[in-house]
Amino acid sequence: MEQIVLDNVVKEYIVAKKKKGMLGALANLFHSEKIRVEAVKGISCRIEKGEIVGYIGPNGAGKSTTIKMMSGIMHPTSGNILINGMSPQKRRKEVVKHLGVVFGQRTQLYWDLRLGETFELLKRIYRLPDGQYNGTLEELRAVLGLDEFMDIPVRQLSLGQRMRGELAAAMLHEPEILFLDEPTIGLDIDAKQAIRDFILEMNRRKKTTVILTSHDLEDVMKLCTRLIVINKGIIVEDGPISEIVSRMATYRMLVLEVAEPVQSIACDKVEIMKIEGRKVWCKFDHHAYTAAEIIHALGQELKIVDLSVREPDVEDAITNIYHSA
Amino acid sequence: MAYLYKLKLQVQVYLTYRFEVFANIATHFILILANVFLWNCVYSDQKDILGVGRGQMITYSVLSSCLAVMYHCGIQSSLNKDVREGNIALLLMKPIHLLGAYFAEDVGAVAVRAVSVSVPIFLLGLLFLPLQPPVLFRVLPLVMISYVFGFMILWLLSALVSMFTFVTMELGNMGVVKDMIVAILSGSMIPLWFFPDRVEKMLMMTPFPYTYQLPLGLYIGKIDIGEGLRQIGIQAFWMLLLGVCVALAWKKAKNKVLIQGG
Ligand SMILES: Nc1ncnc2c1ncn2[C@@H]1O[C@H](COP(=O)(O)OP(=O)(O)OP(=O)(O)O)[C@@H](O)[C@H]1O
Ligand SMILES: [Mg+2]
Repeated sequence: MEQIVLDNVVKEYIVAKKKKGMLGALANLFHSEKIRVEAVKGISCRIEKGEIVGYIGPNGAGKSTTIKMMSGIMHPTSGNILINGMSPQKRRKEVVKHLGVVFGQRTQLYWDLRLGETFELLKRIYRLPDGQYNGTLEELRAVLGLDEFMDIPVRQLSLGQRMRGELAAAMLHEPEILFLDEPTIGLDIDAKQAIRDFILEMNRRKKTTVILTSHDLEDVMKLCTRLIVINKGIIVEDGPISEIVSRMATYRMLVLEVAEPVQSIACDKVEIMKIEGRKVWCKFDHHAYTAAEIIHALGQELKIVDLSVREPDVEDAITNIYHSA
Repeated sequence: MAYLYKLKLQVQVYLTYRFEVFANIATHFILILANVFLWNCVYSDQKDILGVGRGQMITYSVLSSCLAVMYHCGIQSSLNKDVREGNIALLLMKPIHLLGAYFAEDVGAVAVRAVSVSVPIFLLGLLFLPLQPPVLFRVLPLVMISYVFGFMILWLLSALVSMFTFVTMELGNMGVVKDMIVAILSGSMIPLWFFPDRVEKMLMMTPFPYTYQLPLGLYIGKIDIGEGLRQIGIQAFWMLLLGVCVALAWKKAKNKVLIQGG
């Protein structure tokens, strides 16, 4: 079942262009020039129930903008969004009940309240029946280890504790879809791991659909099966991670140590990246040649003392995608 | 219910800041003493000025302080904070009326402030200052009604000002300006009958005197029951008008979030 459908979604921000200086500030009071910034330029995609999708892209690519539109916080300038077959713009109240959202940079907990009180308040806001609420809370407490800090005011929680609280708050009403915008930002390795485990657990137990943005590619690799890459407001890749990696990281790096310093290499199967004395870095297209062929060819003209081949990884693939657009 | 729970939580939050409560009582009491000295000076050897006696005037100014404590409009700072920190969009996503939630919080805060600050100040006043009981106990219900309406007027004004700040953003927080205007034009410091006639007439056409001067004037007997009822009618008019403005502004503010993402 297609749970999230985006059709040609465009978002234009209107930004007031401010004049500088004292006089400019005065002029701004009365009139300021408006310019349009196209943050998302017509994206389309379909996401099935139970998927964990990594939504990645460089800074300013339009990820948060997309998440805000999918969760009904913001209206698209044009195009259509359907969540469970409903438009979050037209039927916000209904749609929102099935959504959980965490923005790593924002909080939806109440600063002065203890975590437990925040949950009690959310229970009333979402009108959860006692039985359901207690059951879910029990589960969340166990998975996220909330017990140590249930009674501490939110403002006194550490970042990692707060983020666990945020996740619990977002999951309390058992949403079918969870939007996570940089949920692991600023967390240490243990906290990151706890959050990853939690996401996998919720996905496994409840078939929660998860859309995750993160600049930590480890999050993406450990959690997601599918990757959507956005750059400058356009989706540039969409597919299974393994496929994207093998397609995008077409080159492998070969590091050679040769007996005598060289200036250049005649072999046209490789591209020289760097030569430093007796060390040579070159790359080759591993779809076209095998490593053995390359080494054989190079062996003809060079005296190779030592060599190593670096595996392509997500990082290379992503860097390539970011830079090719 | 979510709103009631919010109210209850606000009461708890307040009670945890116990020191603030005592500091509040102390500062208010000092301010009141300064006011009493001032009015004693003004009255020096006169028995009454414009039909208001010294005891009445002192009662007026002490009660004005009690009232100020109970006219608490936290929405002004909460809404600004939620907008500045960018949480407004997330709060709007919850299936709850956000203005209702702010209101519930403020009612909770007012309840605690009334019990923990206003009542002690009033009792201290009865003990140490020449505070007078109301002229007629019959006016007390009217005093109460005009207080509730006065609170509504101030709360709606605060909501309006903070939404205006939110929509225009560039102008900075105008809440402080509003507070100044209210302090001067509502008769909370100097009753408007001390102002020149023309100025007083003009000010009576604004909502401000109906926040402080009306309940206080009723209590000390400067405003009689008939006049009081008429002015409560005017309060109701202002409440309605401001209510409509707030509803419109709220729609506009929400739209801004939906278009600009908060
Ligand atoms: N409220 C706003 N008003 C005007 N422009 C905005 C607003 N929010 C975002 N933008 C612009 O839209 C573009 C996309 O921003 P967005 O926050 O979606 O990026 P992102 O992919 O989440 O980036 P990051 O990885 O840095 O979080 C940026 O150029 C940004 O400057
Ligand atoms: Mg972002």
